[in-house]
Amino acid sequence: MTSAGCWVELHQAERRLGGGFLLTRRYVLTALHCLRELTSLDDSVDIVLADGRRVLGRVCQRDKDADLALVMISTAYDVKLPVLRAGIAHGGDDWHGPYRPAAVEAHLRGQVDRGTADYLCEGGAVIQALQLTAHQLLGDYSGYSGGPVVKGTPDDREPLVVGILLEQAPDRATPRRAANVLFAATIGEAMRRFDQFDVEHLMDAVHPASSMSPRDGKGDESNIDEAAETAEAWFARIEEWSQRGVLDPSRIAELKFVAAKTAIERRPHGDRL
Amino acid sequence: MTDHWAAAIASAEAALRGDASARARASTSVLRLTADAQPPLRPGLGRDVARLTAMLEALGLAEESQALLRHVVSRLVWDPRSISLSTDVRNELAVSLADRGHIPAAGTLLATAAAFSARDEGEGVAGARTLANLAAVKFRLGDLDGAQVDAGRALGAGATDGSLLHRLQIRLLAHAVLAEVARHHGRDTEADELVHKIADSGRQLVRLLGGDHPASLSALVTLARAEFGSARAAADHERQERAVDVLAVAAQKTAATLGSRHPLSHSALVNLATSEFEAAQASGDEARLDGARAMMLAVSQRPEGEPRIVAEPSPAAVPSPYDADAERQATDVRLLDRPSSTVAPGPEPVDEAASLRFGVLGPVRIWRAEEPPAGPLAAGSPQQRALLAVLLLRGGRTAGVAELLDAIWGESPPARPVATIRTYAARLRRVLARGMLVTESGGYALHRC
Repeated sequence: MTSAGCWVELHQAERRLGGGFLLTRRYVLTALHCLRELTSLDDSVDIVLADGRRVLGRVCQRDKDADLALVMISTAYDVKLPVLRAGIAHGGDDWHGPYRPAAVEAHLRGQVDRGTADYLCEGGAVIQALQLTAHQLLGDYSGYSGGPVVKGTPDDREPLVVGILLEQAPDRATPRRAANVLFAATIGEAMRRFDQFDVEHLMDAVHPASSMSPRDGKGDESNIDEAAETAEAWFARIEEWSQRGVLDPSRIAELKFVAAKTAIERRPHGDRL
Repeated sequence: MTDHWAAAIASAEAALRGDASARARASTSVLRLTADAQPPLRPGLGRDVARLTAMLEALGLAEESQALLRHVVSRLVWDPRSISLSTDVRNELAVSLADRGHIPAAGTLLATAAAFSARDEGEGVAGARTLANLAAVKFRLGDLDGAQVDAGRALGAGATDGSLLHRLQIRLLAHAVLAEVARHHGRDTEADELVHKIADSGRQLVRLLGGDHPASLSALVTLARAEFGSARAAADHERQERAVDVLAVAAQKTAATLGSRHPLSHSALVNLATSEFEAAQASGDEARLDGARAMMLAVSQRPEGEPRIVAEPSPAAVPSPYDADAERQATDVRLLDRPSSTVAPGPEPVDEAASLRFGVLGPVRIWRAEEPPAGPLAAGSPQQRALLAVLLLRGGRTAGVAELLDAIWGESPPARPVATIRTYAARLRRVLARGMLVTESGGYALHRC
C-alpha cells in the first residue's frame, strides 16, 4: 500500500471546500475551517476520492475549539480504496503530505520537530499536536489544511497517518508570511474529540444497551476518573498495559484468522472461497 | 533490577522522549542483558519485560524486542530456578509472551502457576486469573475442550478477593473463550447469552478505566468480534456490517493511542481483517472479497519483528495440570495405545508407553508409573528437557526445527544446532517408548503411542 490514495477533497456543488482523508471507510476527517463556506443549513458534501470517484457525505460533527470536523460517507456508497492505518509520530521522524490543493502545488515533506505535545490552537483548545518542519518554503501553506500527515517518505512500504494539518506558524520577521513550521492534531486527539469514536458509544452501537443483561456490581468502583490526557499519556498507557496479569481477550480471534489465512493461501488461483 | 535492565529501560524511555542517541544505547543494553545466562528472578520481572518490549517495539527495535522474549523463554521458562517465580510474575510473563506469539512457553508458565495456585493459594483471584489465561492459551492452540473446562473453572473459582477490575478482566476473558467455544460447536443460543455477558463486563471496564485505557479498547474489540459472530450465525448482514465498522474504528483508535506496533493494535487489525473477510464472503461482492483477502495477507505479513501469529488450528492440547495426581501437582500426559508404525530405533526403550508420566512443572521430568513409585528417569540436560517440554506442549503435533531452535536457545544457538537437536532426540528415544518420538515433516513430534 502507498499513501497516494488516502486523501479526499470536499466539495459543495462545484465549489472546492478543502482537503481531508479517510479515517475508515465510513468517516472522513477534515479541518473545520475548510467547511467555512458551507451553509449551516446544509451539511451535505461531495467527497472526491483520490481515484476520482465521487461519493456523498454529511458533516456529522464539528469541534470549533479544536478546528476539526467529521464527515460520514453515505452508506449508499462503498469506498474501495484502502484506508491508511493510524499511528504515532516521534520527534525526528520523516513526514509527508500526500494531499495538495491543486496539481500545480508542491507536495509537502519534512521532519517531525516535536512528537505529541500540548498546543494551544486558534480555536482556543489545548490539543495534542505535532510540530512539523516543511522542506518546501512556500511562505503560505493555506489550502493544505485538513490533509493527512503521513509518517515516513512517500516510498515507505507501510505508511501511517499520524496527524491532520491544521495551522501554520507566522514568520516572526515577516508576519504576513508563514514560516515553514506547521502544526497538526494527532489522530488520537482527533478521535477523542468525536462521540462517534467514544468507546462506550461504540459498544452501544455494536451491542445496544437495551439488549444487555442487568449489570452486577453496579458502580461499586466506578468513581475512578479518566486519566488526564497529557503528553505523558502514551507512557501511562504502556504502563497500564504492562501491569496486566490477564491475557488480551481480543486475541481469541487469532485461531479463526489463522484458519482463514490458511484457506486463502491454499486457494487454487482464481477460485472463490 | 540489574544495571542492564535499568539501562535498557531508561535508554528506551529517553529515546521515545526524543533523545536520538538513546536508541542505540537501548539496543546495546538489550544485547547485554540477553547475554546474562542467569537473569535475576525478582518480583518486578514480569512488568519490566512488558514495559521494555513495548518501548522497543515503539522505537522500531523489533529484533531487540524479540531477542528479549527469546531470552526470557530460553533462560526463564525452561530454567529449573524459575520454580521460585511467584504466580503473579508467571502470569505477567505469560501475558507478554502470549501477546507476541510465544504460546507454548506461555502455556508452560501458566500450567505451573495453575498447579501452585491450587496447592498453595487456593483458587481466589490469582487462581482464577491463571485459569482464565490458561483457557485462552489452550483455545489459541486449538484445544477447545480444555479451554472450556478452564474458563468454567475460572468463573467458578468464586474469587471475591482482589479488585473489581481484576474480576472484570477475568470474567471478560473467560466469557470470550466460552462464547467462541459455544459458537464453534453450534450452540448459538448459549453463545449469544455469553455475548451479553461480554458486553456487560466490557461496559463496566470502560466506566472504571475510561475509554482510552488499553483494557477498554481490548474489551471493545472483543465485544465487536463476538457480536459479529452472533450476527453471522443469525445471517444478519446489517449487524455484521455494523460490527465491521466498529472494528475498523477500534483498530484506528488503538493504533492512534498505543502505536501501530503495539500487540493490541495488531490484534485489533487481526479482528478487523477476519471479520471483513467473513463479511465479504457473505456479501457475494467479488471485488470486496479480493480486497479482504489482500488485507488478510497483509496483516499476516507484518514487517519483521512485529508480533507474530504462531497459533495453528489443531485439536492438540496444552496438558492440564489438573490431570495430575495430587501428590506431585504435575502435568500428566496420559499416553494412549497406538500402533508404532513410525518407529525410530533406539537402544533399550521402555516397553510400555502407557507407563510413562511427564512433569513439566518446574524441571521437566519423566517417571515410570509403577508401584512403589521410583525416582524420575534421566531426562538429560536442561536443553534436552526443553526439547521434551516443547514436544509435550505440542500435544502430538510436529514442532519444526526453527521453532525448536527458538524455544531451546533463543538467539544464542550452539555451533551446530540442528545436529545438537538430533543428538538430544536420540538420547530421549533411549528413555521413551519405542515409536513415541518421531521425525516427520522436517521436525519432531511426540506421539501418543
